[in-house]
Amino acid sequence: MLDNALFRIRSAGVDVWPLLGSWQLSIVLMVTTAFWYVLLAVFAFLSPPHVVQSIAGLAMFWILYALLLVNTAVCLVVRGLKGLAIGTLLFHGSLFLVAAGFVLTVASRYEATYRVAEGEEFTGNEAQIVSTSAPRVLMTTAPSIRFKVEKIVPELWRDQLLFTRLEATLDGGRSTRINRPLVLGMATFLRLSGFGYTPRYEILDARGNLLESEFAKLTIFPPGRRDFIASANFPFRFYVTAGDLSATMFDVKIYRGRLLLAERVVRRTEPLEFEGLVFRIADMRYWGEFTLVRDAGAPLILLGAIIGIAGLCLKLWRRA
Amino acid sequence: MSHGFAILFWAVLVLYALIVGLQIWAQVFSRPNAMRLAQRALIAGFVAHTILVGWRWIETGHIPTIGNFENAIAGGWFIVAMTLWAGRKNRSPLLTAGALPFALIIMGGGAMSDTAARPMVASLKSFWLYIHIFFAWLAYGAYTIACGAGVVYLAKSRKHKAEGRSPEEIQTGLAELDELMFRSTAFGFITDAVMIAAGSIWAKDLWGAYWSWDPVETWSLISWLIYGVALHLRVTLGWRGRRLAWILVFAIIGALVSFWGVNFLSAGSSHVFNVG
Repeated sequence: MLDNALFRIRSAGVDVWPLLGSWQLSIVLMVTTAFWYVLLAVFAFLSPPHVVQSIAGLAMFWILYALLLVNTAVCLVVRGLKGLAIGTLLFHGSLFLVAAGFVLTVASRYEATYRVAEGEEFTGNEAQIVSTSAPRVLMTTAPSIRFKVEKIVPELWRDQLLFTRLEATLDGGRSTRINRPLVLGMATFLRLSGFGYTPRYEILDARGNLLESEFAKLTIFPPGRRDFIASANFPFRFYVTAGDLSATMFDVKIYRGRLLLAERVVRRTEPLEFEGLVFRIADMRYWGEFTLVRDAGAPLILLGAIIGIAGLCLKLWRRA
Repeated sequence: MSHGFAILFWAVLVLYALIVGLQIWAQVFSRPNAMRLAQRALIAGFVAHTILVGWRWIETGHIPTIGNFENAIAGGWFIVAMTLWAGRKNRSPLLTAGALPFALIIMGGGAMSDTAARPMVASLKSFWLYIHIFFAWLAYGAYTIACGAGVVYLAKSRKHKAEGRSPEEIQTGLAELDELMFRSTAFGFITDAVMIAAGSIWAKDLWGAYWSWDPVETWSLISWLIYGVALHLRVTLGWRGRRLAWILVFAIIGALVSFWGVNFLSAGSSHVFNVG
């Protein structure tokens, strides 16, 4: 009986390799993958990006990818590595590099978003951190970085919400644009991903003595968005909405608790009086949203893509 | 779009539509002179189309790549250029009737969107944009040729069948068309791969991740996989002739959806041609 069972297992083992390495299985797997991607694309129409990304990470996709890789590997071995055209070998071999890069990304990718104003140094202070990615299997520590923002230059086209330039100059002569990240190390880069206004407000008494003055990073861009400044020394909140794209005028509402004390549209430096005090926006700077990404899988994927395309070109060239 | 530009644009579109009609008429009623006339008219249309692309380039100060309209003009130009290349020396003049309708659809769809000239926004000022778009149009142009060749193959093989020829005779008679289908698919597959790779590199710089399952990304991958399947079927299982033609005729749907359908059905994509 044991002999019989072992014989069956061995027969199955003998039969399974031709099946795993068959062209028919390749076609079935590729069609199935395309079909799953169609379903994913349908979900992409109906759901926000993070839901789609969650669906793309479901076990069925991983099983399909694993089967595709096994099928490719067995196909290559069964056909004999020596007998294969170099182009075929390079292209199919590159799929393993891409897969390794993809796995490494899933297991170790780190992303964090910081908000740092002009003249401010990023020190990892909690007030500067907007978000960080959830821990991954291979991600042990967050990359340690320090930088100082010297200048942020946004340029908008006419009066429309179209950036023709968005660039940040950092200390040490370094700079980053919205689509040109600053490389900080192997597979680690920092990019400017957004911007906003940092007004310096002042609270003065009736005789013009300065009582409070601070910079406050506000999310009032684009116009219509409202944010508030909470005074450090007084029980007031100043709700601010930018009136135009370049934030030269503001709709300001001053509250104490739920009581509206004053409301007016003011220009920069124009005083707004309330309860014997004066509020004004004295100065304006920009803050930049910086995204730090460490993705160890990216170089592997890039290498895989280069080798794969080289293999395809070689194959076509040989055939021509 | 200026008045003169609009007149030229619609003139090109009408001319292309007339060429398709003329070619079909010439084929049905066996008028070789009309077929030659259609080929010459296509060259004239292509010259006018090139002027359109140049005009828009000068008007906006950048290569026409921003928004639906500019992508439609550039995409249509690539399709017509590749149709002319594939049908050169009268190898397969009827190919125009098979491939040109796609240029018409894309350009007509583009004209329905916002045609106002826009500046090159900061996020698009990248070397990778040109690599990505150039290879995208090479790929879609090649896929359109493959589809057009498939349509012509199916039409001709049906005609030959009705004349009582054997399947072997049909296959031999249409071998050149079959090779064109295969080569266009292979060329499209490679350029599509470059397009996806260049897009991923650019996405890493712009969005921080090389892949984010954006609907256009997903559809591009689907399209690439479908053509990969078609190539495997041809190379490994020997599918050719009518079977390959049918696959290529339907496979174009994936390319059309990734370029046009996603944009048409949903606003959820961050891709360039959504700007328009």
